Amino acid sequence: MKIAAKVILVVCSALVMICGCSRDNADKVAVNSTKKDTDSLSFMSIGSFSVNHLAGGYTRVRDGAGRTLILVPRGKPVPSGYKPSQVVFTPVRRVVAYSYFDVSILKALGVLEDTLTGVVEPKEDWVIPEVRQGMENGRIAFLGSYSAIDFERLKKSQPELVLTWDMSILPMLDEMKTPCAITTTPVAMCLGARMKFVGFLAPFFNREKQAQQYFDRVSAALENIRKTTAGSGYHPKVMWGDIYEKRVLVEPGNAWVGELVELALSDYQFDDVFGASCIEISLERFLYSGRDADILFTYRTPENGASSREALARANPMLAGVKPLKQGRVYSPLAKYAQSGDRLDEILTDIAAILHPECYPGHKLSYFRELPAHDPLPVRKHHNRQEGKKTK
Amino acid sequence: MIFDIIRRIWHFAGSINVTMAVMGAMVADLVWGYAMLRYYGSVFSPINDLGFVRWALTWGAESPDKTAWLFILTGLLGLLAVNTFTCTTDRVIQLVRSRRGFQSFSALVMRFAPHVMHYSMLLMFLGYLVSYMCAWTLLGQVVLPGRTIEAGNTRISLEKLEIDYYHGTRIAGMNKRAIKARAFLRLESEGKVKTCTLGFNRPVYFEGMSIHLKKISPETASGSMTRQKFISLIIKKDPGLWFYFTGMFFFTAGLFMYVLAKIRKIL
Repeated sequence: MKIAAKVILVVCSALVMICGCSRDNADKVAVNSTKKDTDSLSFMSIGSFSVNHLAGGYTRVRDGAGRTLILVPRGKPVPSGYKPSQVVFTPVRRVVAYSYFDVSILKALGVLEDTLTGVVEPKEDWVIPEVRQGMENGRIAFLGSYSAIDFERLKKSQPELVLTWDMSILPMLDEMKTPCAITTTPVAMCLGARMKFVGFLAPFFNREKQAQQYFDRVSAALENIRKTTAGSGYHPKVMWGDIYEKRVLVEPGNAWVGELVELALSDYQFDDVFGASCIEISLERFLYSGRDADILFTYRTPENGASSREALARANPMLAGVKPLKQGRVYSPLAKYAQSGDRLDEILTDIAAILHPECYPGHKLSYFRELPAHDPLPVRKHHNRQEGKKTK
Repeated sequence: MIFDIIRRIWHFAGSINVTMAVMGAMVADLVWGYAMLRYYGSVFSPINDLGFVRWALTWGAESPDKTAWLFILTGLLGLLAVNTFTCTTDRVIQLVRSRRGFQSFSALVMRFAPHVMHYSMLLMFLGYLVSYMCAWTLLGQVVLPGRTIEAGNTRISLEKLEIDYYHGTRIAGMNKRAIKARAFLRLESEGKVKTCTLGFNRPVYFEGMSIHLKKISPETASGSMTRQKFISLIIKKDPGLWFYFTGMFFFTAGLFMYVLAKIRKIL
């Protein structure tokens, strides 16, 4: 009898626990529709992003900020429990994109020309021909700098989706009932997430096939890098970052560049640093890692002062102490590097060729430039002098 | 016959051998888990806001090779809970039976100290289970000064945002960085109104919800850039919270009773 009482006690405890669990409010906010619509067919995680294909052609996605959006095929009813700014009708026909990477992924999906209606960089800063052309003919609007968005103009461009990293616009977009996806994460994207990110944007445009082709292409490039560099006995030490006036910023070890360097049988000097892309570290740590590094990738482009190793050292004398500036190699990204996410396979190959030039004889860099020791002679002055002579 | 089987199961479940076996298995499982968390941390981070069940059906099911240890750990914790419950209950029953043998009532009560701690631990386990099963979290809830957002039935307004910036060079890299934020909130739900101040490590509780400050902007006091002021919130409703608090309260009480009993014995 006492045993029975014990069993009843256990069962009662379990019941109390279960009864205490009443799902309410926010669960409705998260997702709540008919069972048929919420049955999961397939799930794919992409770092912190996720894509969950549901029955009936619906897709539930989670963006970089952990927010949930429901993708509804045009003509189908909207499941209950979602705010208007959480509902995206697919395929999206008009999109505003903040970052270069997002725009280049739209290009990879083959939807850039048809869907992009607004950007936050002026025409002069773009190297993607489709964007420049679109801005010239007025199809793509410059909405103002990210810190001073012209919301009237944004409203006028009637976006069905905004891709951004700036969370401060969320309340405004909520009011406009415009759905928005945050495309960055608090922690840097790893190599796998960078490659698969296309899979996050694909269901917005019904371009899963193109996303798969892109992923296969980048995977093949990665496999090729693995095979090509496998036999290399040279393991260069690499650092990716820069010293600015007040800050020292680097790519952490969990970022895709850190993982790629390790994959290509090289040593990443900041592999123990974890966090967001462009993370701040101490000057001492940067200089310590720079003592025996062979290669430095700087964030600065030639336009931003990275014209030569001498120019970099002049701009920041502290940087002059790192080995790559004295006797190693320094690489600067070209303007098209940041806008070529659609050619990620080529960028990865470029980086591998920089790390292991012995494995890639004759490879011509397309996205980076090796900085010469000194700036070339001031051509303009020389030219002016000649012009002066002619005038005389 | 049935009672005999139940009795055997009960005694087996409460035996010290089961405790040792479960503990050993947990150590091995946690070593595996450490490696998985070290190298695949991003797989596990969504569990905080999705809850265990939804995480298990998505991230958990997607990579069983990386997540199986957590499911095993959950099972082992369940076994440990059963083992603790049966073992402790046996001891409590024995104590109650032999209550007349104690010199005083307080001496009897003090003997319950270890059992109070064990039951408290179970209560905390229960809290974790309830949290994983029933808690919900809203991430990325951005509020601008003077604006209102809705979370469930609650309206959250940010009346004012004050940010203190560090000025100086004593702490490397911190010059002009935000060190303290005070967000003055007005919360409304079904006629109930509360005004409060939210800060980092200073959540606000309202109508069973907890509101946490995740991010502020601008994080640096830069004179050259005009950044939009805003706060990003994490809003949680966790019914397991009260189980932890109750468990912790009783655990502390049990510990206090245990120490008191020992002191009395020495004196």
